[in-house]
Amino acid sequence: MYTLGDNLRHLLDNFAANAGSVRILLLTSPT
Amino acid sequence: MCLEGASRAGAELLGAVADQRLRAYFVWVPMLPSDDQKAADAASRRFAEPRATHYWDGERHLARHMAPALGIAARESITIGDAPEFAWDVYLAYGRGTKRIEQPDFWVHQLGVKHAPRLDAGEWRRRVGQLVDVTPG
Repeated sequence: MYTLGDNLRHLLDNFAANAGSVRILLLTSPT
Repeated sequence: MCLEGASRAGAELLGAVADQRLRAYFVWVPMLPSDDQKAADAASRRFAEPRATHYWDGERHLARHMAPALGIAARESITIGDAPEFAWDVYLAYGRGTKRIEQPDFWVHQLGVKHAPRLDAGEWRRRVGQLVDVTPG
């Protein structure tokens, strides 16, 4: 698991790198 | 409710869609007193899957980033006091070629939002399945 920092860079880079795929983003709480 | 949403919109979908190019981003956001990094670690293990990547958004960076993009107002996101609005309990889908995370092809939620549909697991699987099937790859 990664921790998001101020610039969200890891997530945004990974998201863009997988632009050839269908993607889903689930934004929710863990409990 | 939130783990249930992650299960219905995430784990069940990945189980139903065999396409190995499908990617899932689970972003865990603290909303309840019990929501901490330890809980997020446990949730990431519970929903571990080769196509899934997990993030802990303890400072709600992405949650705040996405709220205006989705048109979610503070009163709809259970924000306390004058804290900025943030998106949570939202599930977004992107077709091939989309590069901007702020522009999903469609999204659903479990909030009080009126301008997007609430999560219906069957309908969600059907629509994501359509994206997988119909977009060129």
